[in-house]
Amino acid sequence: MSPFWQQYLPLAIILSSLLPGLIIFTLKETQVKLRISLNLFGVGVKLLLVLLMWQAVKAGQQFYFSLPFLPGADLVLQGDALSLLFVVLSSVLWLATTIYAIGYLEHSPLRSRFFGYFSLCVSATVGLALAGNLVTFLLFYELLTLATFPLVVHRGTAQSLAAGRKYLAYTLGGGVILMLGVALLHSLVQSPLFTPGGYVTAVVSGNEGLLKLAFALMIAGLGVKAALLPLHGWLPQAMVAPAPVSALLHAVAVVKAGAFGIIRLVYDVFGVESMHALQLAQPLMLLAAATILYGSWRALSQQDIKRRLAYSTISQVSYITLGVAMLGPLAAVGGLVHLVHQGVMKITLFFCAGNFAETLGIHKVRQLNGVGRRMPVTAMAFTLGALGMIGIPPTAGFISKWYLGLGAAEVEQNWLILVFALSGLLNAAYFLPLVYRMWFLPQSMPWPQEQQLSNRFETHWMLLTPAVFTAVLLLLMGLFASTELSPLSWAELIVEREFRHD
Amino acid sequence: MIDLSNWLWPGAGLGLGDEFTRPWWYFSLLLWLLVGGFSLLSQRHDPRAGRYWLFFVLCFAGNMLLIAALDAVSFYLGFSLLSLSAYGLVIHSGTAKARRAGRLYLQLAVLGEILLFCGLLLRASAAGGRFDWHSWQAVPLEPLSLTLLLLGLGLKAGFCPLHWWLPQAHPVAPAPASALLSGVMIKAGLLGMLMFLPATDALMQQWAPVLLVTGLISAFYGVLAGLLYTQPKVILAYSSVSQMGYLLLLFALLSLTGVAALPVLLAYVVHHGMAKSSLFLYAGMAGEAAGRIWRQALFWLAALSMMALPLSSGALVKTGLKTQLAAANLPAWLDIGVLSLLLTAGAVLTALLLLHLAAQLRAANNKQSNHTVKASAANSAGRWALLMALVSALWVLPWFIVQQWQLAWPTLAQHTGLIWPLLLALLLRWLWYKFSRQLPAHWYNRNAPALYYSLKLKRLYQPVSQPQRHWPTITLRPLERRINRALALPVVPFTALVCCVLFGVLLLTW
Repeated sequence: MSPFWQQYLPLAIILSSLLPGLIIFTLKETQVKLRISLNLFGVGVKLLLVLLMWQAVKAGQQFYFSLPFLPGADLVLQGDALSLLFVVLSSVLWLATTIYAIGYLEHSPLRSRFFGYFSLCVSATVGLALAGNLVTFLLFYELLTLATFPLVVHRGTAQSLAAGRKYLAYTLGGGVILMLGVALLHSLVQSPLFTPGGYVTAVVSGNEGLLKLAFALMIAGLGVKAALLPLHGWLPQAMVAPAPVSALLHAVAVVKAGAFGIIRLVYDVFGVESMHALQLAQPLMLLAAATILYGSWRALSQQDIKRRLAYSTISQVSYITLGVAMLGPLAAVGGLVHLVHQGVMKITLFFCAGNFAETLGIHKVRQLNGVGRRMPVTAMAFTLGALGMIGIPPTAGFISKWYLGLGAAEVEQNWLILVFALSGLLNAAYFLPLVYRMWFLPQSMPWPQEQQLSNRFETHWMLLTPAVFTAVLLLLMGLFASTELSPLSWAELIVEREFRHD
Repeated sequence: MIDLSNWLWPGAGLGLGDEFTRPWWYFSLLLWLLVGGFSLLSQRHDPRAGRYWLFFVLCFAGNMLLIAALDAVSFYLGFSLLSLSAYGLVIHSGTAKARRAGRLYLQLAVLGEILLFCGLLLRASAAGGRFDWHSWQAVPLEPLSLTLLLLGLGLKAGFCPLHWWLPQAHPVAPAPASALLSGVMIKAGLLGMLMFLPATDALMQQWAPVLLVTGLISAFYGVLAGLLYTQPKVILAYSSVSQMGYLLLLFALLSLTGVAALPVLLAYVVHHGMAKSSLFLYAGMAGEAAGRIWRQALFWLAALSMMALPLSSGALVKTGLKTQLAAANLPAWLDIGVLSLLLTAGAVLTALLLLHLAAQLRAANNKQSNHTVKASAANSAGRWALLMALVSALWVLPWFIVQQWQLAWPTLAQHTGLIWPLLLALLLRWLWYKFSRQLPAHWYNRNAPALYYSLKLKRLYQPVSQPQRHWPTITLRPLERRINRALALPVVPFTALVCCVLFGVLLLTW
């Protein structure tokens, strides 16, 4: 591979979704075929490029692209193992979500606007994954906020506008706080590249207070998107967005952007050593544990399916934060692999919830009775996702939970195992009743709003395939966890590279 | 051994290399196949046969997997597959009673899974990241992980303080499913204990006397509680609680005698599995046995084997149990004389319970014989033939066991020692009839309090609403609107004014 390619590959990956997105904005509403082909072309090219990059990074190559931007902080795109984890996740799930969205929004208005912002949103996510330093990260982080807002309010109803306003208030506020933190850190150590082991170690002595402040500010900023405890309010409201948007929001784009930022911050900015020296791990751990339990507890009483899933996201995303905050290699493997696993499981659940809503008009938990007979494939996918969330083998959720638990025992924080146990029980308590209703109870009332979307399948094939695809994926990731293709082995590779420096 | 650790989850491996997993696997396979054949006939006219077979096959796979597992994750996979799929079998009939029992079962199954998960995590961590249970055997146990594993596996095994779900769930399932639940599935918990709680461990040896006493309590409790019920399948379920108590006792003896008790334990597992399955199958079709002496003889063959009639498998394991107890290295506070007396009393009680069962089955027969039996003659004959195969296996297998594991047949003196508890039980039963003493009616067939708490628990985790504190909300939106409205018209002059003022201030200060 030529150096030229190596330099421009990260940029090409971002542009592969950005350019189609920009073109889509200019299209007329009626140019359906052109729009779909552009979308799928973008996805195809991106997957191809990501595959190239994945092969190269696995072989140990680094990708680096920079533009002069600010004094002391260039605009840097960098492809390392950690960013690849997130890039692969978002590209693959983007494929599934694009197909789903095409099916979901068939015959609905304003599709050009929707798909334009949709592509923009994925570009921002990928850019954020490939960002090589904090300033670039911040740039894409803000771009993501702006790109997702039109998606959240896409329906234009009063409820979604209110949700959008709340979303914007939270995330812009978070962005400003994050920027303060980044600026503070920049004034201390500039903004060099993300490096395994962090780059603040040299200035720790003498600057403890400022570094702690910067860390707290940045965690607060990232915590808004990662839905950490006092900052989670926007997430359950934002579920009024159309199903593909909530799926993307919860699984890949927004929530994961926060979690990914926390991973970067802890491992590549501060590093394990400085985290220990500054004693920052314990508060973060407490916060994440509290969020896990709170999210699960609140999910119990939600009668709206998507709301329940939203609270479940709050809880599950904090597993990632918790895994990172434990600062042990096994826990890090658990946290990183949960980034992927949670994404795939949650997107499956949201696809299925969307299918129920679109095909039968089901929004509430009690309307689910007997759905298993009417839509067996979707219900099966939902069941797999739910079992994964509880952490029942052989789904992907078990693998991440197992490694998180091992990590907790490794760093001798046995109380965290109790947190996992409690959360597992709560997960079972709010997911199993849904599964029970779907399969074991007879249909109790006519479906609220039934539509015949397909003659051959239970629903439109474009709605069904993505859900089946991700459900199979989550099963495969759990079953074949040791193979080289699995997220688990990739997470182990990352952790090996991250922890090798010392 | 099949090494799958490069394919499946880390550390995955399957194999039957052990002295106890191999016979366990073959015995379970035999029982599953026999009962599977029985279900083919008994569920033929079941409108929900598809669902039955789905869960049946899943349970089967889980059970076989957990026995063959060499690593903790495979075991856990098999265990959860078994536990969760068994739920489908428990609530198969769909009646309110079955759903209630199913709820209790599922709650405790999930709880047990989580406890087991935590226990396995701690063990894996203590073993330094190795997942295969053979290497764990050398790692000393800690009190926390031992408790977690005991509770997690015990909830499946269903001995006394952890038995709540068992008398509820076993009777409501279809007959072949309850046969398997009592015959093989609850043994999964015991197998897990054998794998993960090594008998030679120092802490385990400290705790063994407590487990031994727990086992004895469970053995007595099961019988006494069973005597207070009149449905045959409930009696059988309580009998399982009592028998699991004996198995726990044997498990504790494993730590106290070295590992000499292992063959006895295995023989007991096989014996109980076969006998209890036969009895459950018989109880499911007792209506067809009315007036047919050969069919009733099958019941008596199985029941007498459980009552430890000389020459039966029951006699073999009961004598083995006593011998092992005599050889055990007991702490001072456990008197061997009292213990063997208690064992004899236990034998009397077991016999009494089975006589009680026989009486209840006869009553049920008389009630059911009025019904016309739907099944065809061939179907019925097939089922009875399979039951006969099972009962004959129960009587033949001990001979193989004796050869295979060098167990001693009871001597003549021991045989006579086994007879008189039987006679005593018969006498007691006769006296009971003769004086027709009845306990107060409300003592019989009581609803288990566990069901009540299960409902309470459900209400707790499925709240319709949660107390929600309403924070005073600060809405700036009206204020913003008002400002906008006020500024709507004169916005340009206002801005100009502000600019001028600022400029003026700047000039002045400069």
